[in-house]
Amino acid sequence: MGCTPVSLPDTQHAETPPTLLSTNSFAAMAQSCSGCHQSETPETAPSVWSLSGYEAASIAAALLYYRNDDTGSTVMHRIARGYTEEQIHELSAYIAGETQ
Amino acid sequence: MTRFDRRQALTLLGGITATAAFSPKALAQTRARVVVIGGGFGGATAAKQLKSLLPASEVTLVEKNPVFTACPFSNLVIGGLREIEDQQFDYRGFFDLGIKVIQDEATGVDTSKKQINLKHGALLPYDRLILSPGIDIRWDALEGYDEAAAEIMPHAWKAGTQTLLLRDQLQAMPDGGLVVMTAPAAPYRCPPGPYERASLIAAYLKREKPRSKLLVLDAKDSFSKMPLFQEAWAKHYPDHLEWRAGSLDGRVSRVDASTRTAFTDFEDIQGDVVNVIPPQKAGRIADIAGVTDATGWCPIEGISFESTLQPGIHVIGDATIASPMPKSAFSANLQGKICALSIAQLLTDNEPSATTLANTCYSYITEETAISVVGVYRNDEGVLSSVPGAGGVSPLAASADIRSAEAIQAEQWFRTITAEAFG
Repeated sequence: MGCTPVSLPDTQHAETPPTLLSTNSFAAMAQSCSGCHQSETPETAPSVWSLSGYEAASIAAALLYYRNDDTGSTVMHRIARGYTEEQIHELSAYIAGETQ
Repeated sequence: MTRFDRRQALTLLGGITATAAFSPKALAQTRARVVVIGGGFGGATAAKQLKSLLPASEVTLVEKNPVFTACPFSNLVIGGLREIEDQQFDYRGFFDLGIKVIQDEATGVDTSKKQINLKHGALLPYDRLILSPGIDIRWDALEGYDEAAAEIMPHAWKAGTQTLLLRDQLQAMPDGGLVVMTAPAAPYRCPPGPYERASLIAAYLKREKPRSKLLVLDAKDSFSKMPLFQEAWAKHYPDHLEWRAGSLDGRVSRVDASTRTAFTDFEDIQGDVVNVIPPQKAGRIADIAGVTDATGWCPIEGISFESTLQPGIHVIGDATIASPMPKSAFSANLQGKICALSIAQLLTDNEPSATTLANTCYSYITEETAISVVGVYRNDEGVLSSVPGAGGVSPLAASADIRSAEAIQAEQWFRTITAEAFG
């Protein structure tokens, strides 16, 4: 079904994230996420999951799925298409707290 | 406290906090006075973000109302599906965060002395000022529509008593009545808002007063998510909602509150309930501070949201000219965060850099289904532009599951964004 959110995978992503472009710009870039994603997933009817506690590779894998699934039409598909793969890796690393 | 602990602690305060991104020491040592005027989605968010980025700085929020009533989801109140209390938030938690909240009205800004006049209080000095004044109604723009007329034909475009007035008028209307809504030309707060409201009023009429009808008189020929709204209207409200385009005599040039009449070029239309969504401009303090241009809105530089007219003053939210970013709560909240981050960078001698921004707006089309529009933007060189190939609206002809999933996402969005701004 088109609107089911992708579950974040547990497995490590194979690629190593590329080197940091600019920490500042990814801190700013991550601000768009917290309008919808809370620090904790609510107990009732969770349709938008918290990003806390996920590794960068898991977040990146989910974002890359949305970005590269041409036929998808969920909100996350439409958002993820606005980011390059490199930006997705950097953003994911920032959200996961793996870069500063 | 180790950096990891601090990051965790801040994450608990609200979603993704940007703190550890650049020299935590410089941020912790910065002592500046930052004043935020206006405690809506933009201003409340900016104040909270600034204080977490600059804990040694003095962050003051000036807001004249003790309680904030949110516009998003207020159309559900009008449609009889939600209580106004669910829309209301206060600033009690701000004290514990170390933010000073002054319940007062800013009446002047002295840009050379960098101080603010308050209606009841002392002069308030600032090093950086953020204005998040929302909108004001242009009382001179639609003939016959003044503050007295709005008590008879509510705009309900600022949530609160106006929202309840419109709801109560709809509930008091006998079955068989005609509801008239007038929609303005762009730009205005919440581009899809009139059409979500039309949907929820039509749903109310269909449910409670099936012999009644809503007529939408629009100044425009097209609007946000138009094919999706029209698909929903044809499916759900063929007998309860009629929309008339501007070029088909939909544009209202005058209203008369005494007879609840809207005048188009060729017709005088009397309603039993008339909802006038009038032309708007930036909130008054923006004009006073000299940050509005001839359009009545505020031109900004798109990285720091600093006014292009007054250095040292930043403007966020509905008051700005930030197109293609819409005048939405999501945009105001994001601009508040980006602006706070930029101010923290400027105060620590860092140059704020360009980034990617996103906006998501959900609109209800029935009691339990919704549609959405997404935008993704860049602010390279301070100019906001849409990222090609990204964004867009929900699919047409989608299943009921998709529409109800977006309604559930909308609810969760409301809880998250209000927690980030006011919690």
